[in-house]
Amino acid sequence: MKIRTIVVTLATILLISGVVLYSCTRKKVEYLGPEYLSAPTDFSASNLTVTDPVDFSTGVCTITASFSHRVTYTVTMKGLSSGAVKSYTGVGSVLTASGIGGMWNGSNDGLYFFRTGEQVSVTISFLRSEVLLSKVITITTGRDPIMGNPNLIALGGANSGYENLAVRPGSFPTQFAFSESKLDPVPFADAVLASANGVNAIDGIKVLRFSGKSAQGDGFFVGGIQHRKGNPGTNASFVLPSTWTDASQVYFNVYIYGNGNSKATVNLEFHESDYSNPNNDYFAPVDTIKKECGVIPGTGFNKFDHDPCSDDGWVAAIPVNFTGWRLYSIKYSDMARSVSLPNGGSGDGVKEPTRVARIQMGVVASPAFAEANVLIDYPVISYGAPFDPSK
Amino acid sequence: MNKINKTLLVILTVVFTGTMFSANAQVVYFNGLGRAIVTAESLKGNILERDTATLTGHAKDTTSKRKSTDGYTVFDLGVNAQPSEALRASAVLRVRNAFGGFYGDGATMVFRQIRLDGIIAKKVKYEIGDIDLEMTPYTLFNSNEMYHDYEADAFAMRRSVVAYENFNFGNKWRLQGANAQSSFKFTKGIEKIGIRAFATRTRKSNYLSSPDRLLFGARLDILQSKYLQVGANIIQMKDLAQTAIDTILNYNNTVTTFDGKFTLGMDKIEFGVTGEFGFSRNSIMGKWKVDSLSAGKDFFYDAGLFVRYKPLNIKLSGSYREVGYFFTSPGAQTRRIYDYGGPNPNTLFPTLLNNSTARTPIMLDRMSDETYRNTSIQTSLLNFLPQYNNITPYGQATPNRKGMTFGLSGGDVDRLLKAEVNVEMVGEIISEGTSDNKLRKFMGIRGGAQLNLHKLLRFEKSIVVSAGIRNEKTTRDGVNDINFNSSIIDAGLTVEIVKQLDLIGGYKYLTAKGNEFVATRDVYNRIVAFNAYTDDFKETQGLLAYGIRYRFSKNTYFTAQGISSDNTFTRSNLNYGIKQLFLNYTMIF
Repeated sequence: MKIRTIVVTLATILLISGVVLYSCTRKKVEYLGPEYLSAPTDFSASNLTVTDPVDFSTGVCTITASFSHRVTYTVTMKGLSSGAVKSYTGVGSVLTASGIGGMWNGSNDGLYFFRTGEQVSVTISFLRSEVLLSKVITITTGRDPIMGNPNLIALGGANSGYENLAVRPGSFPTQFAFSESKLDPVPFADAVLASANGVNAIDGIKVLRFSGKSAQGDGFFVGGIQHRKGNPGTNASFVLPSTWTDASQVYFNVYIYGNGNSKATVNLEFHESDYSNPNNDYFAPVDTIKKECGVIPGTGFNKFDHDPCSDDGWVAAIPVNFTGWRLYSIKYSDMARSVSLPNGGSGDGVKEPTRVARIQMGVVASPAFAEANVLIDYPVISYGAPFDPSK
Repeated sequence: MNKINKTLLVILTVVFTGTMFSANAQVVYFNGLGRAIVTAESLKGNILERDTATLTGHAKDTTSKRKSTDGYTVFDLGVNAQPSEALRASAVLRVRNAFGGFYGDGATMVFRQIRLDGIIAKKVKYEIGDIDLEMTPYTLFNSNEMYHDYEADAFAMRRSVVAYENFNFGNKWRLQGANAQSSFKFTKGIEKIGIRAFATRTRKSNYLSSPDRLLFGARLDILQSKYLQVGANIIQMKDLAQTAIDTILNYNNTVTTFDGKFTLGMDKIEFGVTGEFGFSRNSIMGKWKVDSLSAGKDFFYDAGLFVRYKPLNIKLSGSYREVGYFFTSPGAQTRRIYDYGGPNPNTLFPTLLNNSTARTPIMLDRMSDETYRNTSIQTSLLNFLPQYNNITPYGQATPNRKGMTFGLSGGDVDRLLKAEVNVEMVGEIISEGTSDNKLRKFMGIRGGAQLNLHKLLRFEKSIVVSAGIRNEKTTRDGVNDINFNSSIIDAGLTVEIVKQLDLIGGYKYLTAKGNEFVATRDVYNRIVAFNAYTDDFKETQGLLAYGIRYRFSKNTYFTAQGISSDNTFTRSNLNYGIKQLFLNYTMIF
């Protein structure tokens, strides 16, 4: 190859490179990310004040302190019984009630909620410093995330239902358990002390336990709980508010504990009452109903009830193939239509949150006849966003 | 086994049977892999024995597993039907059975790979289906999870299993789509022009909020002569907004680069210039379109020189690069490993502290756990642990870096000695999180040697000794000063004691000490926080493997190994160790 060709080619490449690089720009910024500031060696902090005791049903916990230098600080609240943790990190030379971490509403960052009556250590630490400010306070009433929040609805009063009452068939008006478990006489689904199962409850001290082997012929269904707004068969209203019309904004949230044995699946079902649509004119095709169910709904049928032969059932499955607690938030619009015609697969096929007549969680064994062990806590429905206990 | 699997089995059997009878042996052939793995392990250490309540708020650990066993058998059957040069259809069927599982409970059957490929008109090679793609280190490149070029055979065998399971073939990404390439030869001025284009889908729409995400690109490669080669690359990752009803995030990234290599060869000496430069344009729009969340556009350049002494294959190289802090190239910057653990729980002792805390992966997990690898290209930089790689956690294309790299290498694996050393002296372009604008400086040395001792001793059976090291030092002045050191040391020995039967041993040691601030990012790839490694941070990990390997053939072996992993975390004053028996029979045909 001629030297001239190489030189010309290289020169062309260099020219193009120069033009391209010259034309390239990047946005100017002072520095990347949020600022942090290490504490100097002569750093000191003082004047810690914390609301004690604190009642989160009526107020918030205020934290103030002053520092000798502008510094990155972290305010950490740790429940000495629950293991709950909440922390805030900010930069400043003083912590005031209006500053980051200066006002705590009782929320938590991780899994566990702070409990009523427990002691909480409040600590302020500083980036790369041994200096600590700390104080132990008492929570007289823990925060109830649902109270005052129109976008959260508890199932059966959420944990107030089974923190104080047994959840057994017929014993609880709007939430009842049904069992196909062989573990007799222990009910398959019961409110039990979390500590008896070697775990911490998410909220309070009790959890709902599902355990046992299926007593059904196919060996799958172990049991579940069902929630209705009113007593079954009565002229009650629907579960969700009439303003919750957007299925993509409705979330079913629940904490599930798995022991890693991979033998259980939690099936979530939302049962609508399509018969009671705004015009009260929806019926599944009669031929279909007769074929699948042998009956025609309508006569004597409560319009607020779900008829599995003519109404929609929307389902989602959560394989419990993990160890420990996990928070699941399932969007109503993501749920699938029941594939069973006589069990919720014959409705109008439209997700209508305001037509939800009952909500059901069932545990099935996988594979059949395997022993399933699942704990659940704090089932709650939210509108607009998944449930976030840190807010 | 569910109905779908049964149906697949029936269909496949019918297809195989039909094919076997109707086709001749030249157009249908089989390949594949069979593997059986058994492990038995125990966990010990003060993390189990002491009451950690004061540290963690948990009671003494009485429920976490102390011992476990695991294992599985897999059989990957590759069926290739090639009726003509223009077409080949191949599928790899996987049957996997976990030890302890029976038919219907533990056995699974899936298609591991489906691909069509061939040549059109003897000019255009094409592949459709599951394809493996790689371009340049700044466009599409699956960087290694850590430096392990000179680790012991015992570790390399284990790592190869994980790589195979996660489709980590070299630095390629496993993608689904189509790839086509062709080349044209010329008689004057230019020797050859190669062109290649691909289009893949990296994410499937959920029809509601998450749209289809496509990755497509092309490369033009011009071989002017044996002296000069230049290329142009373009790659784009783009969301198709209308494939979801209510798109929350709309992503669009384009990277354009140019690369070249000029080589001047003499009798024994070869001299060359290499380089690549280019720019990225990034656009991320949130659902509510309140603001463009784009990091905008940025650029990089990387240019180097090398000289090689051909008879001894000794190469001396040096290069300079600058990669902008907003340079964004998902195909090159996506990490192949989740340093903090993947979306699935660990296979080995997944939780500690009464099953409440996920165990952070250690070197043993990174080498042996099949669930830690990330197999999809991500739009946001994944979090990383600085003790494994703080200089280039996102590969050569790691953003916010500029500086020099020098290298010296020589020998070959088939010769008496192969050795290399690389020195990296780079720094940041802009400061992270500190308003005094002080920049990190990085100094890294990595290298190693493999000595074929039997060649020196003129011994007929193989004796191979290997050693490697990777040391990194990170410093920064100012109010948020940084001083972080980490080293990984490798040593390996393979001795063939009788024909095809090897004694194998290896040791790997990691130590990391000092303070750092590691950035964490949100879905928009913005730095939102820094994870502080405080001054008392110190971590050591020792990994010892010893055992035997019998080589039935080049690709078929059995190995039995004892593995001991000891880990100390000084900051939390916790330690634990894992002892493991590992059996592996692998057959590739």
